[in-house]
Amino acid sequence: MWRKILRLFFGPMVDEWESWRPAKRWSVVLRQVLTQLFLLAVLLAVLFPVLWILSMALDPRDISKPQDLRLIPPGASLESFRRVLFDPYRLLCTNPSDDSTCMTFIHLFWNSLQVSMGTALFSVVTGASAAYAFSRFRFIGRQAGMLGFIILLMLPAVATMVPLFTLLNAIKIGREPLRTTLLGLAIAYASGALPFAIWNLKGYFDTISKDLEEAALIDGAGPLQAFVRVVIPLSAPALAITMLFSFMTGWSEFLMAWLFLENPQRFTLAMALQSMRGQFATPWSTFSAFSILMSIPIVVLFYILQRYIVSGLAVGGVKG
Amino acid sequence: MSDAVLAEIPPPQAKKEKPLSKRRRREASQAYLFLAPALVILFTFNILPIGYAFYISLHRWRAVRGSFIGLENYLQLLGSPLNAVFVVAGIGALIAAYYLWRTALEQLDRRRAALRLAVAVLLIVGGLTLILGVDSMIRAAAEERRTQEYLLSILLTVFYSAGTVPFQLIFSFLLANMLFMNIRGKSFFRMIFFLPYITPTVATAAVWRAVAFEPRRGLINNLLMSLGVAQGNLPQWTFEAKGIVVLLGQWLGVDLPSWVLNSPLLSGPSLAMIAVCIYNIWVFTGYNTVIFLAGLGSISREYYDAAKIDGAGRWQAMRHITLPLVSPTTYFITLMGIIGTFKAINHIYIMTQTVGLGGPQDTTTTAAIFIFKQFREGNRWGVASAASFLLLGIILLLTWVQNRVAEGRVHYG
Repeated sequence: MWRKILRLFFGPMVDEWESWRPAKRWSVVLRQVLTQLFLLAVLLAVLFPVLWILSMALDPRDISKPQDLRLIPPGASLESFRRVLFDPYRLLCTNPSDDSTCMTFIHLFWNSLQVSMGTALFSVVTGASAAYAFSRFRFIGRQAGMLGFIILLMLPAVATMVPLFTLLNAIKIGREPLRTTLLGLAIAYASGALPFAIWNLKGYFDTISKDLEEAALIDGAGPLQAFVRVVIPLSAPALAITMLFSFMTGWSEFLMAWLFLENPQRFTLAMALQSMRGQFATPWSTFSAFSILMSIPIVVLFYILQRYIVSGLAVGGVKG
Repeated sequence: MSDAVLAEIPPPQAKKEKPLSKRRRREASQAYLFLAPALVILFTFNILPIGYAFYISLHRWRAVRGSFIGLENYLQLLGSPLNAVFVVAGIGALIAAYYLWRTALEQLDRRRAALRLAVAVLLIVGGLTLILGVDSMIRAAAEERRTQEYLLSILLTVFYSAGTVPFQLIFSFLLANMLFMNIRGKSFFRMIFFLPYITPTVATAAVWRAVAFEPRRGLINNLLMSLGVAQGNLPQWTFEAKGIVVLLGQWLGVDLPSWVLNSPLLSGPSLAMIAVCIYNIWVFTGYNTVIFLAGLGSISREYYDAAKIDGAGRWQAMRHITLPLVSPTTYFITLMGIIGTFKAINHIYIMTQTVGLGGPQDTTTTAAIFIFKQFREGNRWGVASAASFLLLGIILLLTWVQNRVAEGRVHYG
């Protein structure tokens, strides 16, 4: 009996299996319905915290603790979204008595965007070039280098956080240390994201046939031209996904940012969100509205790039 | 092309030796140019700090440098060096057992095989005893508080890996297989399943803690009450420091012997840790599903056609085609999952902040959290750096073991 049930669920796991046994029409329909129901159940389990965030964002009361379990709060309004977007953040001001020195959502957003774009560009540009070397050239230290990257990939970020702090503190830009600037933060994130970028891109480059590059080389192109004109355009999926992942690191990380940055004018969205969480009370509606607004760029990016996810993650890269 | 024709064409490599080595040198120099930007960044911002951290780990260093103390920080973390020897010997015994087991399976002579199997079993038992011995050492090290904390944090990290990665794998494999067939709204489901991964950790972890795991009004406890599973004493989730085995014993009304109750290993991960695990599974299952979808998509349909002609059933096709051919993906996910749990810090930070980071009673203090706490709260940079290097050693050992195990089982193409 249980076998039958299992078969009903997981039987048609691969397309071909539909034709495995000429199935009766009703059983195909039933299977489709059951699978859909099952997936919907999983969907609810996956979605409920997200739905809750949405519900709390619409709640006009700005409760300190989620009081009841009603999904649509009484008197739902978009007030908290307005508050997040247009009110200054009194927690993050250079001069606490003057509201005009406080951060606004737009300002935080701009900071986050700078850090995340910086991280993404740094890691993808340098990562792609290094990955190309690993994928196409033979040189002394190639094997050791690949191994080294995998080791770097495994090192917990906490291990280098404090030495990195000291190092970035020692490098001065103008009069202030690199550590307290957004550039410094982007570099710190990029150095953490780089091993994965190299690994992933190398795996993808390996799957691209060398014929086109060789044709370009015969036509008189240099290796750099072959790389930029031939390989880069062919690797759009992997480049896009690597960028998305690095971008996400910069967008949502907050521990290192709290450790490094000092001037509230440079704080990021993730830091602001974290600062709202009090030990005993959190302004849940504002918090939720903020996190929704903060996720929108990532969701949009993901939606645009989602057809690349499957091809752009070079799982074969494990081969080394 | 026949063999005769092939033989007439000279092998391309053998012809010119000298220009080739010159070309190689040029190739290498080009490679280094391509590598240069990444190397500069990696060297300055990764390798230099790592070297510096190693330098710190050899000193008594509390925010400012103290005296040089050599390996004392390391020994302080491991307790007596004997502890480390025991653990390494235990793991070594397990690895040796594994090798023996494999060679025994390859043997044709049955008696020899049986002998080797017996030796292997003995070795496994020996290895497990040694690792279990660590447990008693953790308790014996009670006077050395930091040793105890660190060894415990490694045990908790292992709990965290074991409590997440297998579940992630099973759930995401099943989901990917369901999504892989022709069902309606495939890309919609895919998008939604990815959502936990792309919403900010701060938000989702806070909501899980405050809405789902809230002891009095939380969703999960409400569900448990309405199902009649728990009535008076509801599980305290992120506030519960007792191990799951102890809690189950209480719930079933079984009196557990004190050596179970007092053992961090045998009493199991705390309920708080399980809450963190559930959150982790929630975040990464969808992500892994999408990666599994990529793996399933790369399997050529011809294999299934051939299997069908040969009269294989669906389950046989699943076992002999899908599982082996998707194994690189499985390996990738397992490896990344384990590394991820060893590095995880952000969501544990959010979920346990209200009871003190890594709490309650340090039952969610994984190795990464331990290091973070030594840095931030204790300012013990020397100890923290030493702990990082020991952790890296453990991760490397694990990866190596995983590689060995995967060698015979992962099939590429």
